[in-house]
Formats: sequence, structure tokens, C-alpha cells
Amino acid sequence: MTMNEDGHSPANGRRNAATDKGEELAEDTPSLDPRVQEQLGRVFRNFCDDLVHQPIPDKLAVLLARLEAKQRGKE
Amino acid sequence: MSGDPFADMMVAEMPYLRAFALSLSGSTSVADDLVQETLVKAWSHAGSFETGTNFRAWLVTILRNTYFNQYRKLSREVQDSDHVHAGQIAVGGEQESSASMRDMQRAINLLPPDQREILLMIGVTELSYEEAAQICNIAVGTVKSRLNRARARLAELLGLTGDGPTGADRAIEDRKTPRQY
Repeated sequence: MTMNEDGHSPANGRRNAATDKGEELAEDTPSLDPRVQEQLGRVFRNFCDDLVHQPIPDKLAVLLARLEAKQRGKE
Repeated sequence: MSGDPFADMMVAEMPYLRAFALSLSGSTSVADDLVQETLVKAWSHAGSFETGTNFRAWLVTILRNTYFNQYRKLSREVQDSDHVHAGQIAVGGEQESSASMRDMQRAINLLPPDQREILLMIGVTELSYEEAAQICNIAVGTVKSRLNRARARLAELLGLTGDGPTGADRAIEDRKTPRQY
């Protein structure tokens, strides 16, 4: 499972969005009203930020610690 | 931090991985199972991760494949019960609160899976178009067109008109209210 060559560079859709925009609009189907696009972008970004900041359940941290301990036992 | 570099990387990516799982499945219980399974698989296949490539994209690949292989059908059933009391999505902006966070998830649940996964890979896990294309084995142009369709459909489902003040603005104000999954 490999990624693209420049894999570890923190390339992301948001930053690419500006440069890709022209191309995107040119090749694409439904083009949103810019005000709607802006509004949606704001709400969606908010939604994403909120999700990423959800607390991580303890059971996931516990699982990771267990995997690590198992690994250490093997070494 | 544990001192094990691989474990530390996993810890660092956990918020993104879980956010992706939550929004993809629309269910807390499915998301947590999905993340657990992804962690176990990632750990046992650690050797197949190529140093220098994007670790998050590698984890997203595992999670996405796990979801589409095993959980898709299940999650749809769970979703339905999880969201019994979820707010209605307004049609044509008749409800000012149409764009609350919960409504956003509900709208995302209604997107076709191929559009939903692209939207969330780009928006939630912040992968590049190229990485999303590679994960889904599609062309970059297809990523862009799915993304645009997803946006158009979301705007429609949320009843966004671009005129303020709207439900969208209210949703931003509501941010501090903890959202329930």
C-alpha cells in the first residue's frame, strides 16, 4: 500500500483548492453559486474541525498500548 | 508518548482516523469498531508501510477498505437507528436550523458512498486529490467531479441559498454545543 511519491508532504485538498479551482469548474458538472459554495465551505469546515477535535475513547488508547506491549514482548 | 515511533505516529493520526470513521459510517459504534480494526491491521502490516509516504493516507486506505468490505451494510442499519431522532433536513430552506452539525452528518449519510468517501478524504482527513485518487483507484478528474457532485448535493440537502442570515450561520454559533453521535 504505497501512496504518491511526495507522500509525506502535507498536501491537502484545501490548499490545492485554489489552484485546482479553474480546472475543476471547467471540467465539472454542477457548478455552485459562489455564495452557496462559500456558505457550504464554511459550515463543512466547521463540521470537519469539530469532528477532528472529538475526544478519543479510552478503549482505542488501551488497544494501542496493548498492541505495543505485545510487540515489546516479541522483541 | 510511548517511545515507539510507529505507535506515536498512530496516536498522532488517531483524531483524523476517528473523524473519518465517524463521518463515513455516521455511527459512533461502527466508527470505533472500524478504528480498532484499522489499528490492529496497521500494526500487523507495519512492514508494508513505506517510510517517506503519507502515513495518514496509508491508514485511511486500510480503514476505507475495511469499511467497504465489511461494514457498509451494517452501518446503514445502525445509522437508521442512531438517527431516529435526528432533525429533519429542510427542503428549500424552510427551516432556519437546516445546517446544524447534526444535519450536516445526516446530509452526508445521504450522499452516494463514492461521493461521500471522496468528500471526507479531502475535507476531514485533508488528503490531496492525488492521494484520494490513488486510494479509490480512480483518476484525479473523477475525484474532482465526485467532490463537486457531493458539494452540490449537500448544498441542496441543507437548503443553502447563499443568502444570510441562514441556518449555516446558526450552525456555526451552535459549535460550542457538544454534538452527539
